[in-house]
Amino acid sequence: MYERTRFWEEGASFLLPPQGSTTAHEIDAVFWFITIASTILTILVTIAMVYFIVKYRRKSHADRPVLVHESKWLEVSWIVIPTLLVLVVFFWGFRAYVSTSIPPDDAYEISVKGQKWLWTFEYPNGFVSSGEVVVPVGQPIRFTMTSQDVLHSFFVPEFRIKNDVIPNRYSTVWFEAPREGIYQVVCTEYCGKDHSHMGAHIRVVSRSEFNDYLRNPPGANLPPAEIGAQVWETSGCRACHSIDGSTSTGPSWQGDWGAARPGSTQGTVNDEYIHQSILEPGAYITPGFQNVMPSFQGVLTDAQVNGVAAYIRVLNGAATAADTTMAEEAPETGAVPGAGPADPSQPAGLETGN
Amino acid sequence: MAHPNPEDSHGDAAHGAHGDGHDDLYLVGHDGQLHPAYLQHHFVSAQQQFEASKLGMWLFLVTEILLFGGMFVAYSIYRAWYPSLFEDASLQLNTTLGALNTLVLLLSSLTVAWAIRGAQTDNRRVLFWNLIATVALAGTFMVVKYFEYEHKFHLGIFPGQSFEYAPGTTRVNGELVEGTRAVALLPAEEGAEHGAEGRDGGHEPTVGAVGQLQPAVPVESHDGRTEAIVLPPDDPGANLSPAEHVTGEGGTLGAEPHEAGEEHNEREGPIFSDPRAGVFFSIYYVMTGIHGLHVIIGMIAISILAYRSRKGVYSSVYYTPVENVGLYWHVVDIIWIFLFPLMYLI
Amino acid sequence: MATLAAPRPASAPADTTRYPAGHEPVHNYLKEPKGIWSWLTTVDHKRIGIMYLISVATFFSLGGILALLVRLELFSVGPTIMGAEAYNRVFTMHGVVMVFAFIIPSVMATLGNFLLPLMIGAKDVAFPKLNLLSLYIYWGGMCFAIASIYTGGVDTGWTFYTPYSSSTSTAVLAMGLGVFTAGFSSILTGLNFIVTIHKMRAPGMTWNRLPLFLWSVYATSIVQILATPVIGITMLLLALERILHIGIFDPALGGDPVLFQHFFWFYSHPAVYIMILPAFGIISELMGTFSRQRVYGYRAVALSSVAIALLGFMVWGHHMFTSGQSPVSSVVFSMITFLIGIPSGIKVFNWVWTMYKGSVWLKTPMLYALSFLFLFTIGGVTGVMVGALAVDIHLHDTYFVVAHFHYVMMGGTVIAMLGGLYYWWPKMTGRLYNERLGQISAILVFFGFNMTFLIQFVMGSQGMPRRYYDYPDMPWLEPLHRISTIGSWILAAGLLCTLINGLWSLKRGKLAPGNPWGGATLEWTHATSPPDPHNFARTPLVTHGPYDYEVLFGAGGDGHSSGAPVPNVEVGGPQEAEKSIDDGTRQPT
Repeated sequence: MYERTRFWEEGASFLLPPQGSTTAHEIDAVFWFITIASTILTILVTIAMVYFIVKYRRKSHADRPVLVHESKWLEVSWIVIPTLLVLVVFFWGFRAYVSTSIPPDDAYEISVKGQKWLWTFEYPNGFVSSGEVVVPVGQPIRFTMTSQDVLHSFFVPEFRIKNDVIPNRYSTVWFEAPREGIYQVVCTEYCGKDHSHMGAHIRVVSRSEFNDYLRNPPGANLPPAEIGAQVWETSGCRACHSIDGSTSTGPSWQGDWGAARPGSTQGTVNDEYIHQSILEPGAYITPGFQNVMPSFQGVLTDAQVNGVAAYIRVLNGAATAADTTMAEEAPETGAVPGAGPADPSQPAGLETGN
Repeated sequence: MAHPNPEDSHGDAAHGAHGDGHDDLYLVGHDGQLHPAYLQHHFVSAQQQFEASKLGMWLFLVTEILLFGGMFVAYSIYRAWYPSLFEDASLQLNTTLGALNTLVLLLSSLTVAWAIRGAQTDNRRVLFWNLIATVALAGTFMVVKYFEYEHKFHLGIFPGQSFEYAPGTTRVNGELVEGTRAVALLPAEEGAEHGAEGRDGGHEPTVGAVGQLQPAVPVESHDGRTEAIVLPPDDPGANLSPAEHVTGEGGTLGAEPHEAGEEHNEREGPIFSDPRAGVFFSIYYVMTGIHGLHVIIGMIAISILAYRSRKGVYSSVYYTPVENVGLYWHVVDIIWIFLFPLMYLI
Repeated sequence: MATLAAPRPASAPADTTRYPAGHEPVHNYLKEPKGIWSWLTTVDHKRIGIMYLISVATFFSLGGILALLVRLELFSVGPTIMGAEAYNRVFTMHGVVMVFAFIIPSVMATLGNFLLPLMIGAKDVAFPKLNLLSLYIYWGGMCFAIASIYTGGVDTGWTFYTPYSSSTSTAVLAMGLGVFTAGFSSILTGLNFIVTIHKMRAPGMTWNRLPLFLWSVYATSIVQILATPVIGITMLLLALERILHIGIFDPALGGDPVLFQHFFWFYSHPAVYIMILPAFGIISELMGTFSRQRVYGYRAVALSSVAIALLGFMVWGHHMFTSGQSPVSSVVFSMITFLIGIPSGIKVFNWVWTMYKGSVWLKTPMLYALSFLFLFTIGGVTGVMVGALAVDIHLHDTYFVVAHFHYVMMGGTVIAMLGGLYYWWPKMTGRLYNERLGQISAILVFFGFNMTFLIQFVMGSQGMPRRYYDYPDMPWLEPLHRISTIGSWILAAGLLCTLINGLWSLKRGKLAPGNPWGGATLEWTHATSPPDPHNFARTPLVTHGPYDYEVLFGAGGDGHSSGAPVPNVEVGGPQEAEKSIDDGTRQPT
């Protein structure tokens, strides 16, 4: 579980998170200018108020009103000065907006899909991950996003980027992260029950690590049960399925293995049942739960789906030897059921020296 | 004089000889003075009441225009996005009947204006009969509308999700006709052939209606062809969403590749194939529906006016309700004047 | 010729059975005519205003309880008192009830209805029966809303964004119908008020002598009649989308979900000016009376209301900077948004300067007015922040926006309305409230409000999104959430004090003189407390401006009330001829 540890470094303050992207400081500059100017204005207004209240306090009900000549210059000045201030702020904000919203030409493109309630990321070579995206440091990245169902919004506070994610349309955000680390993504357009549990992580790593990652996606050299644990952690399962027996949006994986499923084709929770639940969740709904699970067809690899089954067996004390030892052959790199093989003409990662 | 309860009706009635030639009732108000029966007690004078009523009605009509304005905006936006769909769909509307309705409403505006004139000149017969004529013309409008709707329902053109053409509807010589079943594949857009091949599941639907943001990444496509839409002839309830019909299995059930111009009675044109054609008809039904509702309300109001004019309530001294309802009626007419060309003519 | 002996309320012995001498109203609109049926079928604007007041106060309490539940849930990470689905309904209902059932009608339908004819010297509004119809329509809309709540409420957020709202299974239809219906109430009220102000001003009341409260009411009415039809058609289209799937907002059917946002905000942005403009008007009145000084820059304040009303129609896109609308339109909307901040600033500066060389009297209404000046300034400048394009990218849909709009809506409108209620309470009820309790409530509300919402700016700029049931990804924000929740309890306590004060005063409050505050507008100088059912015996003749407090010191004036006699119909014999007008209906004697 990612816990933010950076609170006061990298441009962070009581009001703002750390500046995780190269453009964050531009936005922060406008923010600070307006904040400070506004604070000064508020303080001035308050001082004037308090001064007048004290100085002109009513002494008796027989106080007669004193004639005050209305000064045109006073009126004009407090129209003109705020207008100028406001125009300055507008132009500054406009320039910062323009410069921070146009991605550079050499941006590395990753396709993002939002759905209730997780984020899925697809790399140019066809590899898909959900719940977490790994990107190289010091490289402009462009996310091209669309929604599978309702409106969502992709927000990374530390990068100061945000854009709504709309069905049937594409929207973009871009960033360049100068420092390695893990950064939090949150959904900021209300989308239903688990809107607040629709986070994701952006893991910024060195270029070489990134290239390795693309060539050997996680779970490549792990025992199936560990692959399954990883999937639970990073692919969005944890949002709805607990592993400690507590009921959530979906059935808990603890106590699940071999449990009865009346009315289903398999009858109990077995391998086939788990496969169907992941790839075709709507085919059978466990009594007492709703039909809200999205399909992971095209999102999880065969190895990952097998890993989930293995992990469930481990959780229920029904693990076999195969579950906890590494597979004999290395699985296909980046294979996603139904997507065809990763296109060999596409670079698996970034050329060094780009 | 005891202070009468303001909620009571006015005090004693008295007939006044006020030199204006009217045998109207004048009433004694709370303050001991006489004032006309139609003058409401919170107004200082009849003139103030008249001006206030007119201003009130004008403001109300402004809100009506804004209500319809929203719909006109929706129409413009969708027209800009799907121009060919809209043009094709509007061909399905009966222009003759629409023009007839326009004439009917224009005439009814004339009669209601005439009625106001009758009130202004104390001519109760002119007032009454013109109000009746207005109601009759409005009724004619609704009857014609009924026939238009009925014809569309017959063809299966319902608003919204239920939109579909009844099976076998074709266009013969420009007219929509329910008849023998016809099945055809559409020619695909860019000259490629039919999309009768099987497709694997899992592809995204073709995105990008006209006017939408262009995809920044190439959408997984089927080698650049647009999909043809297939309508299984034996499935009258088919109402495929775009997503479905792109990935739909079920093939073509034996349809032949289409050759342009082969048969006259084959379905042609985007509205037979694109379920989004329902958007045009949805907007059509909503706009004409709300407009029709306003016509009915106007009919009721004018009928009430007619009844009361029989009783002699309105005269040159007091005809405010007639004027205001007339104003309302003119706005209803004007809205139709805009609706008709936008829906029927272009 | 009745003279006034007006004892200061503070020095007179507590007398709850008799009015101060000379101040008894002979006919009290609260008591005549009698019976609940006479209330439910009344056309008296004052009674209609009171019934609206009871209704909106009830909905405010409901919305407030929902708010307390929201804050309670957010007290800790993880579920605290409810699950996610329940929470989503609770926060949505809080928004819907507060916006449509409470704040949109609030000042206009309660204080506006009560005061407008009194302030312009008329017997009633232009269309009293239409006024009653407005009330019935409002109640009708609320029935739909209650039906929706009863069947589980709505969970879409008060903004009803599609496609979520066109596909969720909650009671969107009933609620949409409620909003649609209540909208007509708003339109008819606005229509009534415009005609009244145009056509029924007393002789001598030129536009330049119109009280600033009425300038605000006028500007608000314009917004109401122009903007509200659009929410009507929007709700209708949403309903049709749900029932018939017409496909106007559904992308699968060729529609555009962002179009819904445009439709929705085209009304809802002017709606926020419906919320704040009448509040501005109240503050003008309070600042004038409690500084005993003309409101500085009368013309600027009056015209800025109209400017805000008109400019308010051109900024709706600033709610949609990240929605996918074109950057060009975003730039235009941002520009105009900045410009619309200027008239509001002008008002604040003018109000503060009103106290210059005045005689400042720190009674409860004034405490609320001063709170408003501080809180609205903060709300206004933070509005400028979210109006700045680059900054809004970071702040949009976070708690920063939540804090901003609570500062302007609650720190602005609600505080101003409370000040107005305290101010006009003696006029409306004929009773004085307990001043000490009032001051306590003002302090508790001010302190509690700031504690609740100031910290939310920080939460928002740190990245806390809105409409979040839980914050598992940002657990370090928990202490901030706790501060906010505790603040909400203090705020609730302050509001409760006001409620208690009101109820207490109805039973045991001192009977009020005609003009306890020394106001110079017609409702104070020419009407009893409470007013006669007809407001005035004769149409008043207006000979001075609304803030000419000098008139309080005229012949017979005592600094509290003007020399004009308490205008009962029968006290002291026939009214002085020079104070009445001949409107042509008098029978020659």
